[in-house]
Amino acid sequence: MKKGVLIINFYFVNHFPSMLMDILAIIVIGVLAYRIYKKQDEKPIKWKVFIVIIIGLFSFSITIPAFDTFVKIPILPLGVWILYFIYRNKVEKWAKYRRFAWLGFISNFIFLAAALLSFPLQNALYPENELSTYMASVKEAEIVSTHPSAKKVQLNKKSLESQLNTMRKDSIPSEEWYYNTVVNVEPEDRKERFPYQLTGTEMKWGSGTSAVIYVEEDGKGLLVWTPTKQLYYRADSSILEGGK
Amino acid sequence: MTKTTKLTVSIGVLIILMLVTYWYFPRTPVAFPSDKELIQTISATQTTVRVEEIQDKIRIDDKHFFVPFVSTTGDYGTSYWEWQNTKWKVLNIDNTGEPKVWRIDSKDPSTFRLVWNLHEDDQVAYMKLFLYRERNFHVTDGIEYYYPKLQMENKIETASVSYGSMKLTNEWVSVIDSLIKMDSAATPDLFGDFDLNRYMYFAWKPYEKSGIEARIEGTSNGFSFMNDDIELDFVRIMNDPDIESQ
Repeated sequence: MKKGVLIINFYFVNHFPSMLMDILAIIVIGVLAYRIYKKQDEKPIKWKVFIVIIIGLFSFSITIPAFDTFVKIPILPLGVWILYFIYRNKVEKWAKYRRFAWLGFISNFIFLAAALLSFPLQNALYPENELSTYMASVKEAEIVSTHPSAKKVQLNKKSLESQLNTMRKDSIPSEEWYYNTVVNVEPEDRKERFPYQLTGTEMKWGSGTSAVIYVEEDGKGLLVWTPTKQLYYRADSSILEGGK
Repeated sequence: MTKTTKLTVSIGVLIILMLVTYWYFPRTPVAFPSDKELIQTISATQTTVRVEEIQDKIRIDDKHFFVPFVSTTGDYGTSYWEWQNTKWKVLNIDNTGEPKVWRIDSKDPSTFRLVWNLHEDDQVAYMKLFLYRERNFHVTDGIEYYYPKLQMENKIETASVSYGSMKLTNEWVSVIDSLIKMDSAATPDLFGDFDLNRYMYFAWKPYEKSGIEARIEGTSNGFSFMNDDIELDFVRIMNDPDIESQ
């Protein structure tokens, strides 16, 4: 999950935490609009209020790095200025809509807060280091040989399912793996450390993420390549069967 | 408004509506053009390639056709056609037929087609198509990455006719699909284009009947004319030292 994206785009397809928080933000904005409406003696026209809030959202903002990601902070209330210009000769009308225009600008901060609050939710629902985030269902899983050094094997689904929660996360000695495979070995004798790919697994619902999963030659290691990192897990017994 | 003005206005609106419908609403494709019409369209589109004979019209789906041809200069060429609202349009014309991967829908590898038209003088009996990525590693901000080597291979008979079109195998589709999905989760830009070559590429090797590598003098170094948007991946010649475990 690339967190920066959550903040820059309000809407994130398939990503449950940001969708939920955006809906909450819209409800908060609605409640605030309703309270302003109640308090005002001079009632504005309702559909115009809606449009004024939307225009009020327009802002000039700067993007700064913070919290391991990028945060978009609204600076200049462009929408409010546009509305002020439109209503420049209608002082009484402007008095009716002014608060809603500013509410539109403030909504930027409400969405920002919602995006920030979606991170803890994200971490609680889809822990980055848990294999279950990337392998919620293995019903349709299959093994594909991605290198000629692979043997003719099948996936042992029972073995995979029973070990999903007990596999241990380990470090990735990438340099060592690479050089052990290529140094002093002629190309025709090279054996890939991860010659299989596990396909057809499903991510946890609403995580909005996706991963490419490679299987080690002994069938006991999984290399999970996600959009932000790689994770390596070891199992006690092989998830492959067959292959001589 | 008098009755006549009302009538004029309504007829005018009706005509505009009909024209809009005619131009903008996608309609089911009409029958694919005849050889003669195809040759005329190709000649009208560019000035370099002149077609002598249409070899075949290969239907890929309702809206896409692959048309191999022989040019007046004896080259074996390829052309790519798409139904666009009201007409069949040629997207690309090549006067040589080195293998290419036509990505009809670049997000869906099951729509990818390998297409080729190899010159008969080159005597290619079969070819091998590779799905390939070099082994690699790197460390960024303390996160270690190891990229396993990807080397998948598919043998394709090409002896009977010079041209062909082929779907990718299910295994290839699932491998490519997983890479596309991971890439779009990393950059959920709805308008962003997936750069396949960051993760893998296609390569090929031609062989003669005896099993030795074929020389492809008649098939390489062509002229390519792009007429409209098309996602056409070049398939490079596989580098021998890159092939492992042979």
